[in-house]
Amino acid sequence: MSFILLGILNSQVPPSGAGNSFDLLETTVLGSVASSVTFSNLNNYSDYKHLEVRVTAKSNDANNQALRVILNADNAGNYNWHRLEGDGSSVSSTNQTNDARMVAGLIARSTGSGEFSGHIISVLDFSNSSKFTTIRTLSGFFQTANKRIQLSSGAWRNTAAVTSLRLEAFADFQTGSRFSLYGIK
Amino acid sequence: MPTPTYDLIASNVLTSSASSVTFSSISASYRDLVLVCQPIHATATSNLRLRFNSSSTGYNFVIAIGDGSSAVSESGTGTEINLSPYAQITTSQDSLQIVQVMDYAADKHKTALVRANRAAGATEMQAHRWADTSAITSLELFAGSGNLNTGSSFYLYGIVS
Repeated sequence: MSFILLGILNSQVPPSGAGNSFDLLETTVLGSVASSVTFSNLNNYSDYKHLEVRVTAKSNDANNQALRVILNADNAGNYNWHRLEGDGSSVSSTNQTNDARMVAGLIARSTGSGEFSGHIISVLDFSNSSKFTTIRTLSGFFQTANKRIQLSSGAWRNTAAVTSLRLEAFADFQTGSRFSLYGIK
Repeated sequence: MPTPTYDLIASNVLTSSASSVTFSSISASYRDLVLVCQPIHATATSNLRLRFNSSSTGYNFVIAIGDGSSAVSESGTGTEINLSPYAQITTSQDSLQIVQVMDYAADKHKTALVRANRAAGATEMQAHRWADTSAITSLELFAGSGNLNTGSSFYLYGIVS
Protein backbone atom coordinates (compact mmCIF):
# COMPACT_ATOMS: atom_id res chain seq x y z
CA MET A 1 0.00 0.00 0.00
CA SER A 2 2.83 2.38 0.85
CA PHE A 3 4.39 1.83 -2.56
CA ILE A 4 1.11 2.57 -4.27
CA LEU A 5 0.77 5.79 -2.30
CA LEU A 6 4.38 6.70 -3.04
CA GLY A 7 3.74 6.05 -6.72
CA ILE A 8 0.73 8.34 -6.70
CA LEU A 9 2.71 11.06 -4.96
CA ASN A 10 5.58 10.69 -7.39
CA SER A 11 3.23 10.94 -10.32
CA GLN A 12 2.19 14.37 -9.10
CA VAL A 13 5.69 15.75 -8.93
CA PRO A 14 6.87 17.36 -12.18
CA PRO A 15 10.14 15.79 -13.30
CA SER A 16 13.15 18.01 -13.03
CA GLY A 17 13.47 20.20 -16.09
CA ALA A 18 9.90 19.59 -17.22
CA GLY A 19 8.92 22.14 -19.85
CA ASN A 20 5.67 23.87 -20.56
CA SER A 21 2.91 21.83 -22.11
CA PHE A 22 0.73 24.58 -23.61
CA ASP A 23 2.61 27.05 -25.80
CA LEU A 24 1.67 29.95 -28.00
CA LEU A 25 2.86 29.20 -31.53
CA GLU A 26 1.44 32.05 -33.61
CA THR A 27 -1.19 34.74 -33.36
CA THR A 28 -2.84 37.11 -35.82
CA VAL A 29 -4.97 40.14 -35.00
CA LEU A 30 -6.40 41.58 -38.18
CA GLY A 31 -5.46 45.18 -38.87
CA SER A 32 -7.62 45.13 -41.98
CA VAL A 33 -10.38 42.91 -43.32
CA ALA A 34 -9.38 39.48 -44.63
CA SER A 35 -11.25 36.60 -46.21
CA SER A 36 -9.15 33.96 -44.45
CA VAL A 37 -6.29 33.35 -42.05
CA THR A 38 -3.87 30.47 -42.61
CA PHE A 39 -1.45 28.81 -40.23
CA SER A 40 1.05 27.00 -42.43
CA ASN A 41 4.20 24.89 -41.98
CA LEU A 42 2.59 23.10 -39.05
CA ASN A 43 5.03 20.25 -39.62
CA ASN A 44 7.48 22.49 -37.77
CA TYR A 45 5.38 21.89 -34.65
CA SER A 46 5.37 18.10 -34.75
CA ASP A 47 6.82 17.94 -31.24
CA TYR A 48 3.33 18.91 -30.09
CA LYS A 49 0.55 16.35 -29.89
CA HIS A 50 -2.48 18.61 -30.30
CA LEU A 51 -3.30 22.10 -31.53
CA GLU A 52 -5.74 24.59 -30.08
CA VAL A 53 -6.98 27.62 -32.01
CA ARG A 54 -8.63 30.39 -30.03
CA VAL A 55 -10.63 32.88 -32.06
CA THR A 56 -12.70 36.00 -31.51
CA ALA A 57 -14.29 36.89 -34.83
CA LYS A 58 -16.70 39.16 -36.58
CA SER A 59 -17.59 39.00 -40.26
CA ASN A 60 -18.73 41.50 -42.86
CA ASP A 61 -21.80 39.43 -43.64
CA ALA A 62 -25.21 40.59 -42.45
CA ASN A 63 -25.99 37.04 -41.31
CA ASN A 64 -24.22 34.67 -38.96
CA GLN A 65 -22.25 32.38 -41.25
CA ALA A 66 -20.13 29.37 -40.34
CA LEU A 67 -16.48 29.63 -39.45
CA ARG A 68 -14.89 27.21 -41.92
CA VAL A 69 -11.80 25.12 -41.25
CA ILE A 70 -9.79 23.75 -44.19
CA LEU A 71 -6.86 21.39 -43.55
CA ASN A 72 -3.94 21.07 -45.98
CA ALA A 73 -5.91 23.15 -48.53
CA ASP A 74 -8.20 20.15 -49.09
CA ASN A 75 -11.69 21.27 -50.13
CA ALA A 76 -12.57 18.09 -51.99
CA GLY A 77 -15.43 16.89 -49.83
CA ASN A 78 -13.50 14.90 -47.25
CA TYR A 79 -15.03 16.29 -44.06
CA ASN A 80 -17.74 14.73 -41.92
CA TRP A 81 -19.09 16.77 -39.01
CA HIS A 82 -21.98 17.09 -36.61
CA ARG A 83 -23.19 19.90 -34.41
CA LEU A 84 -25.26 20.39 -31.25
CA GLU A 85 -26.62 23.88 -30.70
CA GLY A 86 -28.92 26.06 -28.65
CA ASP A 87 -30.46 29.26 -29.97
CA GLY A 88 -32.20 30.43 -26.82
CA SER A 89 -35.48 28.68 -27.53
CA SER A 90 -34.63 25.15 -28.64
CA VAL A 91 -31.81 22.65 -28.94
CA SER A 92 -31.07 21.04 -32.29
CA SER A 93 -28.49 18.87 -33.95
CA THR A 94 -27.36 18.49 -37.53
CA ASN A 95 -24.64 16.75 -39.48
CA GLN A 96 -22.94 16.78 -42.84
CA THR A 97 -20.97 14.15 -44.68
CA ASN A 98 -18.51 14.63 -47.53
CA ASP A 99 -18.46 18.36 -46.95
CA ALA A 100 -15.80 20.61 -48.44
CA ARG A 101 -14.84 22.00 -45.04
CA MET A 102 -15.23 21.55 -41.30
CA VAL A 103 -17.44 24.03 -39.48
CA ALA A 104 -16.40 25.56 -36.18
CA GLY A 105 -19.41 27.52 -35.04
CA LEU A 106 -21.05 30.66 -36.35
CA ILE A 107 -19.23 33.97 -36.72
CA ALA A 108 -20.71 37.12 -35.24
CA ARG A 109 -22.53 39.06 -37.97
CA SER A 110 -21.59 42.53 -39.13
CA THR A 111 -24.15 44.42 -37.09
CA GLY A 112 -23.60 45.26 -33.44
CA SER A 113 -20.55 47.29 -32.57
CA GLY A 114 -18.06 45.43 -30.43
CA GLU A 115 -19.92 42.11 -30.70
CA PHE A 116 -17.60 39.19 -31.48
CA SER A 117 -18.07 35.43 -31.43
CA GLY A 118 -15.75 33.13 -29.49
CA HIS A 119 -14.38 29.84 -30.84
CA ILE A 120 -12.11 27.32 -29.14
CA ILE A 121 -11.01 24.74 -31.70
CA SER A 122 -9.12 21.59 -30.70
CA VAL A 123 -7.25 19.69 -33.40
CA LEU A 124 -6.34 16.30 -31.98
CA ASP A 125 -3.27 14.27 -32.90
CA PHE A 126 -2.69 16.57 -35.87
CA SER A 127 0.64 15.15 -36.96
CA ASN A 128 -0.34 11.49 -36.74
CA SER A 129 -0.32 9.97 -40.23
CA SER A 130 -2.16 6.75 -39.45
CA LYS A 131 -5.63 8.04 -38.61
CA PHE A 132 -8.16 10.66 -39.62
CA THR A 133 -7.80 14.02 -37.87
CA THR A 134 -10.54 14.93 -35.43
CA ILE A 135 -11.58 18.49 -34.62
CA ARG A 136 -13.78 19.66 -31.77
CA THR A 137 -15.10 23.19 -31.22
CA LEU A 138 -16.93 25.05 -28.48
CA SER A 139 -18.25 28.35 -29.81
CA GLY A 140 -20.87 30.94 -29.16
CA PHE A 141 -21.99 34.54 -29.19
CA PHE A 142 -24.77 36.78 -27.99
CA GLN A 143 -25.55 39.61 -30.38
CA THR A 144 -28.49 41.93 -30.24
CA ALA A 145 -29.66 40.40 -33.52
CA ASN A 146 -28.98 36.75 -32.79
CA LYS A 147 -27.40 34.33 -30.34
CA ARG A 148 -26.05 30.82 -30.37
CA ILE A 149 -24.09 28.26 -28.35
CA GLN A 150 -22.61 25.34 -30.26
CA LEU A 151 -20.58 22.22 -29.70
CA SER A 152 -19.30 20.67 -32.92
CA SER A 153 -16.93 17.94 -33.93
CA GLY A 154 -15.91 16.07 -37.00
CA ALA A 155 -13.20 14.31 -38.93
CA TRP A 156 -11.06 15.12 -41.92
CA ARG A 157 -11.14 11.79 -43.72
CA ASN A 158 -7.50 11.78 -44.66
CA THR A 159 -4.62 10.21 -42.75
CA ALA A 160 -2.03 12.79 -43.80
CA ALA A 161 -0.35 14.85 -41.11
CA VAL A 162 -1.89 18.29 -40.91
CA THR A 163 0.56 20.85 -42.26
CA SER A 164 -1.75 23.83 -42.74
CA LEU A 165 -4.98 25.08 -41.23
CA ARG A 166 -7.04 27.77 -42.92
CA LEU A 167 -9.92 29.62 -41.25
CA GLU A 168 -12.41 31.14 -43.68
CA ALA A 169 -15.39 33.43 -43.42
CA PHE A 170 -18.28 33.44 -45.89
CA ALA A 171 -17.62 37.16 -46.11
CA ASP A 172 -14.47 38.87 -44.86
CA PHE A 173 -13.40 38.82 -41.25
CA GLN A 174 -13.56 42.30 -39.80
CA THR A 175 -10.64 44.24 -38.39
CA GLY A 176 -9.94 43.25 -34.80
CA SER A 177 -10.73 39.56 -35.33
CA ARG A 178 -8.11 37.50 -33.51
CA PHE A 179 -6.69 34.05 -34.27
CA SER A 180 -4.22 32.38 -31.91
CA LEU A 181 -2.59 28.99 -32.43
CA TYR A 182 -1.32 26.97 -29.48
CA GLY A 183 0.54 23.68 -29.24
CA ILE A 184 -0.20 21.11 -26.55
CA LYS A 185 2.35 18.44 -25.64
CA MET B 1 9.88 30.22 -31.20
CA PRO B 2 7.02 28.88 -29.01
CA THR B 3 6.03 31.05 -26.09
CA PRO B 4 5.14 29.47 -22.73
CA THR B 5 1.68 30.61 -22.03
CA TYR B 6 -0.80 28.92 -19.71
CA ASP B 7 -0.13 30.52 -16.34
CA LEU B 8 -1.82 30.18 -13.00
CA ILE B 9 -2.61 33.77 -11.99
CA ALA B 10 -4.27 33.06 -8.66
CA SER B 11 -6.24 30.45 -6.78
CA ASN B 12 -8.45 30.26 -3.74
CA VAL B 13 -9.44 27.09 -1.93
CA LEU B 14 -11.70 28.12 0.92
CA THR B 15 -10.61 27.11 4.39
CA SER B 16 -13.77 28.61 5.86
CA SER B 17 -17.11 29.52 4.38
CA ALA B 18 -17.34 32.80 2.52
CA SER B 19 -20.00 34.82 0.79
CA SER B 20 -17.80 35.54 -2.21
CA VAL B 21 -14.38 35.12 -3.77
CA THR B 22 -12.75 37.93 -5.72
CA PHE B 23 -9.78 37.93 -8.04
CA SER B 24 -8.72 41.55 -8.39
CA SER B 25 -5.95 43.60 -9.99
CA ILE B 26 -5.89 41.31 -13.02
CA SER B 27 -3.29 42.69 -15.38
CA ALA B 28 -3.86 43.00 -19.13
CA SER B 29 -0.78 40.94 -19.95
CA TYR B 30 -2.79 37.94 -21.12
CA ARG B 31 -5.23 37.50 -23.99
CA ASP B 32 -7.77 35.10 -22.48
CA LEU B 33 -8.69 34.05 -18.97
CA VAL B 34 -9.72 30.57 -17.88
CA LEU B 35 -11.56 30.14 -14.60
CA VAL B 36 -11.99 26.67 -13.14
CA CYS B 37 -14.56 26.50 -10.35
CA GLN B 38 -15.70 23.71 -8.09
CA PRO B 39 -18.01 25.31 -5.54
CA ILE B 40 -19.63 23.67 -2.55
CA HIS B 41 -22.78 25.50 -1.57
CA ALA B 42 -24.13 25.94 1.93
CA THR B 43 -27.65 26.20 0.58
CA ALA B 44 -29.27 23.49 -1.51
CA THR B 45 -30.29 24.53 -5.01
CA SER B 46 -27.96 27.49 -4.94
CA ASN B 47 -25.82 28.25 -7.95
CA LEU B 48 -22.60 30.06 -8.75
CA ARG B 49 -22.63 33.63 -10.05
CA LEU B 50 -19.91 35.76 -11.65
CA ARG B 51 -19.47 39.51 -12.10
CA PHE B 52 -16.82 41.44 -13.98
CA ASN B 53 -15.40 44.66 -12.52
CA SER B 54 -18.19 44.65 -9.88
CA SER B 55 -20.65 45.59 -12.62
CA SER B 56 -24.29 44.56 -12.32
CA THR B 57 -25.34 45.59 -15.83
CA GLY B 58 -24.90 44.42 -19.41
CA TYR B 59 -24.97 40.62 -19.13
CA ASN B 60 -26.64 38.46 -21.81
CA PHE B 61 -26.65 34.71 -22.14
CA VAL B 62 -27.67 31.78 -24.30
CA ILE B 63 -27.43 28.28 -22.88
CA ALA B 64 -28.19 24.69 -23.83
CA ILE B 65 -28.59 21.93 -21.30
CA GLY B 66 -29.25 18.21 -21.22
CA ASP B 67 -30.37 16.45 -18.06
CA GLY B 68 -30.48 12.89 -19.30
CA SER B 69 -34.06 12.96 -20.49
CA SER B 70 -34.50 16.20 -22.40
CA ALA B 71 -32.59 19.18 -23.77
CA VAL B 72 -33.58 22.83 -23.61
CA SER B 73 -32.12 26.18 -24.61
CA GLU B 74 -32.75 29.55 -23.00
CA SER B 75 -31.51 33.09 -23.36
CA GLY B 76 -31.90 36.33 -21.49
CA THR B 77 -30.29 39.16 -19.58
CA GLY B 78 -29.11 39.45 -16.03
CA THR B 79 -27.29 41.43 -13.41
CA GLU B 80 -24.48 38.87 -13.43
CA ILE B 81 -23.51 35.62 -15.11
CA ASN B 82 -25.23 32.57 -13.68
CA LEU B 83 -22.69 29.81 -14.18
CA SER B 84 -25.06 27.00 -13.26
CA PRO B 85 -28.66 27.98 -13.92
CA TYR B 86 -29.70 24.35 -14.27
CA ALA B 87 -26.74 22.61 -12.72
CA GLN B 88 -28.00 23.70 -9.32
CA ILE B 89 -26.39 21.77 -6.59
CA THR B 90 -27.10 20.59 -3.14
CA THR B 91 -24.49 20.60 -0.46
CA SER B 92 -23.62 16.99 -1.22
CA GLN B 93 -23.24 17.22 -4.97
CA ASP B 94 -20.19 18.66 -6.66
CA SER B 95 -20.45 20.79 -9.73
CA LEU B 96 -17.75 22.06 -12.05
CA GLN B 97 -17.69 25.18 -14.17
CA ILE B 98 -14.95 26.06 -16.66
CA VAL B 99 -15.19 29.62 -17.91
CA GLN B 100 -13.26 30.87 -20.94
CA VAL B 101 -13.19 34.67 -21.08
CA MET B 102 -12.03 35.68 -24.55
CA ASP B 103 -10.10 38.89 -25.25
CA TYR B 104 -10.82 40.12 -21.72
CA ALA B 105 -8.72 43.28 -22.06
CA ALA B 106 -9.65 44.18 -25.63
CA ASP B 107 -11.89 47.02 -26.77
CA LYS B 108 -14.76 44.61 -27.48
CA HIS B 109 -17.84 43.33 -25.75
CA LYS B 110 -16.60 40.38 -23.72
CA THR B 111 -17.52 36.84 -24.78
CA ALA B 112 -17.35 34.04 -22.23
CA LEU B 113 -17.82 30.39 -23.18
CA VAL B 114 -18.73 28.05 -20.33
CA ARG B 115 -18.98 24.33 -19.81
CA ALA B 116 -20.81 23.44 -16.61
CA ASN B 117 -21.55 20.04 -15.16
CA ARG B 118 -23.24 18.44 -12.25
CA ALA B 119 -22.52 14.75 -12.31
CA ALA B 120 -25.84 13.82 -10.77
CA GLY B 121 -27.96 16.25 -12.69
CA ALA B 122 -27.10 17.96 -15.93
CA THR B 123 -24.49 19.14 -18.37
CA GLU B 124 -24.51 22.58 -19.98
CA MET B 125 -22.83 24.80 -22.50
CA GLN B 126 -23.20 28.55 -22.31
CA ALA B 127 -22.26 31.68 -24.24
CA HIS B 128 -22.27 34.99 -22.40
CA ARG B 129 -21.77 38.55 -23.48
CA TRP B 130 -20.84 41.37 -21.17
CA ALA B 131 -21.78 44.43 -23.22
CA ASP B 132 -18.89 46.52 -22.01
CA THR B 133 -15.64 47.42 -23.75
CA SER B 134 -13.69 47.99 -20.53
CA ALA B 135 -10.77 45.72 -19.75
CA ILE B 136 -11.73 43.17 -17.13
CA THR B 137 -9.63 43.73 -14.02
CA SER B 138 -11.62 41.80 -11.43
CA LEU B 139 -13.80 38.71 -11.15
CA GLU B 140 -16.22 38.23 -8.28
CA LEU B 141 -17.73 34.81 -7.65
CA PHE B 142 -20.62 34.36 -5.26
CA ALA B 143 -23.48 32.00 -4.50
CA GLY B 144 -27.00 32.72 -5.65
CA SER B 145 -28.08 32.10 -2.08
CA GLY B 146 -26.13 31.37 1.07
CA ASN B 147 -22.39 30.96 1.40
CA LEU B 148 -19.70 29.03 -0.39
CA ASN B 149 -18.51 26.29 1.93
CA THR B 150 -15.04 25.22 2.99
CA GLY B 151 -13.32 23.28 0.21
CA SER B 152 -14.79 25.33 -2.62
CA SER B 153 -12.01 25.85 -5.12
CA PHE B 154 -11.36 28.51 -7.75
CA TYR B 155 -8.40 28.68 -10.10
CA LEU B 156 -7.71 31.54 -12.46
CA TYR B 157 -5.37 31.05 -15.42
CA GLY B 158 -4.11 33.47 -18.03
CA ILE B 159 -3.36 32.55 -21.64
CA VAL B 160 -0.82 34.66 -23.47
CA SER B 161 -1.26 35.69 -27.07
